[in-house]
Amino acid sequence: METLGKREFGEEMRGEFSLEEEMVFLNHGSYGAVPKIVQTERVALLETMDRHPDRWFRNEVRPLYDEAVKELAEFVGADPDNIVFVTNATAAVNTVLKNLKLESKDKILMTKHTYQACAFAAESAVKRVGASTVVMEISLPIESEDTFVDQVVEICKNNAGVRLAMLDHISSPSAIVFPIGKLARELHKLDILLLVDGAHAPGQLQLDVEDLGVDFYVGNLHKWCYAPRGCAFLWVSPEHRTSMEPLVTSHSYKEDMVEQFFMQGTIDHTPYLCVKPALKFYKDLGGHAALLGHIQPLLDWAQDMLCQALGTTRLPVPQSMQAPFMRVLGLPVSENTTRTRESGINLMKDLYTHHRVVVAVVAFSNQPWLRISANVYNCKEDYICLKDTLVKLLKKV
Amino acid sequence: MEQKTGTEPDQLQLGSGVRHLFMLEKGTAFTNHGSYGTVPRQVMEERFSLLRMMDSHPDKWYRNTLRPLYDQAVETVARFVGSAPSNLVFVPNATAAVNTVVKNLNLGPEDIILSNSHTYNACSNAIESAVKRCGADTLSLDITLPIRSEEDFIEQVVEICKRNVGIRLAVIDHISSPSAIVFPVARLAKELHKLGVLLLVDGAHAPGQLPLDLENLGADFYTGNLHKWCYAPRGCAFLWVSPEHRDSIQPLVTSHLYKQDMTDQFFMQGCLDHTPYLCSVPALQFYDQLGGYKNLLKHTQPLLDWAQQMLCHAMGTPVLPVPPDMVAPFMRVLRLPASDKYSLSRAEAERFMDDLSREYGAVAVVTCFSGYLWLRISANAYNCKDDYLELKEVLLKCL
Repeated sequence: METLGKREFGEEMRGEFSLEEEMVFLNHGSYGAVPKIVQTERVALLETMDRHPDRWFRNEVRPLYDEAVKELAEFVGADPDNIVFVTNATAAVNTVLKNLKLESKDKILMTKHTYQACAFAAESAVKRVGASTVVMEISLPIESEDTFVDQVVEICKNNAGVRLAMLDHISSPSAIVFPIGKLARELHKLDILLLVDGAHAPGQLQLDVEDLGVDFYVGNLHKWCYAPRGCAFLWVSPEHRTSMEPLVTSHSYKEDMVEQFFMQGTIDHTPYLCVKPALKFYKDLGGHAALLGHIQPLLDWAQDMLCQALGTTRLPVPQSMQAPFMRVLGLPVSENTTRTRESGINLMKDLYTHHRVVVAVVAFSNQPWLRISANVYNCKEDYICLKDTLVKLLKKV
Repeated sequence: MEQKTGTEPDQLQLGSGVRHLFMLEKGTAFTNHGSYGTVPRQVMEERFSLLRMMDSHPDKWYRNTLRPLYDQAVETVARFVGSAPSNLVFVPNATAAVNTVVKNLNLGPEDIILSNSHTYNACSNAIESAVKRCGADTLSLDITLPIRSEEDFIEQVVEICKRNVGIRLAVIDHISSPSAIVFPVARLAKELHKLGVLLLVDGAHAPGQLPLDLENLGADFYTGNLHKWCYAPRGCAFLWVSPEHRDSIQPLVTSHLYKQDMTDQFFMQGCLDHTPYLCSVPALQFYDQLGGYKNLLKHTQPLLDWAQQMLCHAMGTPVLPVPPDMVAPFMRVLRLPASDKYSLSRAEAERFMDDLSREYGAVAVVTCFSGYLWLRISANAYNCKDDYLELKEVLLKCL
C-alpha cells in the first residue's frame, strides 16, 4: 500500500486535505484539492508579504518565483527559460491566440470537445480580423490514435488557411488523451502551429514538454499538482518567444518574455510560489507511479461497477487514450439527465447539495456522461456511494 | 477591534497606538504606504477564512458560494466610490484595468492617445502596446513645474487637444504616482468631452485617499486600486465603465461568459483566487472602524505637514511646487538635494531607493522628473513622527 509518511492511500489520506467530512469527492479534475501542508505554506508566504510589502515586492518575491519556475520546469521536462506562470490555462490560451498575427483568410482549428472558454477565446481572437474557426467533430468510437491523427490531417487539407490548431492533451468533458507528439509532427508538415491545451496534463501525465515538438503548451498546476488556485503555466517554443507578450503590458514591456510575464503589476504571486511545496507533496506521495498504482485499479473497478449498475458503457476510446485519473461513462437519458450541458450542471449541484457526492456530469455527442476522477484520498466506498445515489435518483423517472 | 469605551470611530486616536492592528514588522519605519498598501490583521484573517472555505469544498465554492459574495463585494465597493454596482468590475490592479480599456478601443492610424510625463510607466507601456497593434499614435503632455493652478493645467490639456485633432482618448491620473499631484479630473472630463475626447482616469491612488463620486465625475472610464489606500489584499482593484461604453469593453481574457453582460464577463475569468476581491468588504469595514476619511485626514495631514517641513529643512530643499489643492492628502513629494552619489535618471532613482531600503531598511519612493530627484513619503493610520525622524537620519546618511 502506498503511503505518505504514516498515512495510507485511500480514506486515511483525507487527513492530508481539508475536504469537508461527510462529502464524497469524485471530481478532483475540476478544481483540484490543496493539501493542508501547501495551505500552511501559502499562509506563511502571505504573512511574509505583509510584514514588509516593499521588501517582498522589491527583493523577496522574484528569487522565490524563479525557484518555482525551475522546480516546475524540471517537473514538466522544460527549459526554465521557456516557461512562464499564468493564472490558469484559459488565460494562457487567450495569451497565445491573441498574440497571433492573424489575417482574415486564416483559420483556427479546434474540436467539439474543446473547453468552452477556449473556444470562446478563439472566437474572440479571430473576430478582430475577420478570420474564422473550424470545429472538428469527435466521432465515437475512436478506433485508434492514428485514426484520430488522420482525421485531423484530413480536415486541415480540406480547409485551406488553417494557421493554428488548438488541441487538448486531455479533453475536459471526455477525458481523452490525444496523441500530441504525433499531431505536432503531422501539423508541422502542413505548416500549421500547434497550441496544446494541457490543462489536465501536469501531474496526470508524465510530461517532457521540450521534446513534444509543439509550439505552445499550457497546463494547470491547481488541478493535478496540488497547487493553490490559480496556478498554471505557458510554455513557448523558442522560435515564438519574441512574439509572445502578456495580455497585460506592464513595466517590463519590450524586455525578455520571462520578465514581461513576471511583471504584472502588484498581484499575489503566492499561488505560483506554492508550486514548490505542492510538487514536494506530489513527490513525497511517491510521484506518478505511486498515484497510478493506487488510482488505476480503483478507476478500472469503479468504471466497470458503475457501468453495470447504470446499464451503460464506458467512453469508446482505446485504453491508451483514456486519462489515467479520470474515466467517462455513459449516463442513461432520463428526466434529470437530458442531453444538455445545463441539465448536467443541475444534476451535479443536486448531487452535492442533497446527496453528499461531488462528481462531474457532462454532455457531448448528444448524450449525458459521467466523468469520475480519482486521487490519493479516494477509495472504493466513494464510488459505491455514487452508484447507490445515482441508481436511486435516476430510478425516480 | 478594541476601542476605548465610549469612543466613536472618528474619535479613535491613530498613530503608533494602532500599529498592532497591522501585520507590519516591528523595528522598521514604514513611510511608503502608497506603493503597496498594507493589510490589517483582521482582513488577513478573513481572507484565510475564505481560503479555508474554498479548500473544504471547491466545487461548492466555485459553483454556489463565490458569485453572491463577489456581487456583495461589488456593491460594497460601488457604494464606497459612488458608483452604480452594474458599472463596476473587479480587476487585479489598475495596470490591468488601463490595459483593458486601451486595448478595447477601436483605434485607427489617424488616432492618438494622450498621456503625460507623469503617467505611470506601466500605463505608458500599455498605451504604446495598444497603439502599436492598430497603427495609432501616442502623445505625451510634458508636465512642467511649477504648476500654478488647476486652470493652468486644464488649459494645457485643452491646448494640446486642439492642436492635435486626432486625440481620441486622454489618460490622466487622479493622483499621479511619482509626484502625488491631484489632477482636476471632473473639470477635465467636461472640457475633453467638448472636444470629443474620451477620458480614462487612472485613479490607482484615489480610493480611500479622495472621496469619490464616480457616477457624477463625468469620466468615461475610471480605475482605482483597493489594495493601496483601502486595506484590501493584493491584487484588488476595480474598473468603472460609463454605461455608454459598456458594450464595447471586454476583459482581456475571454472565458465562459463571452458575449454576456460586462459584469458577467469580468467575473468569469476561469479558475482563480477571488479572495482579494471579496476582502474589499472587511477592508472597507476596517476603514470605517478607523474613523473613515475624516479621521485619517485628521491624523495624516498635520503629521505630513510637520514631516515635510522637517525633512525639507534637514535637506535644505523645497517641496514640489504645486498649489495646495493639488497636493495628495496622504502623500508628499519633496526635492532631494543634488548629490555626487546619484545622478539624474530613473535608473538612479531606483538605485537610491534600493540603497535606502537594502542598507538602511527605510521605505520611501525616489523618482526623477523635471531635472531633479524627488522623495515621495506617505502617511497612514499607523504612522507617527518617529517614523519620519528615522527616515531623515537615513536620508542624511545616504546622501
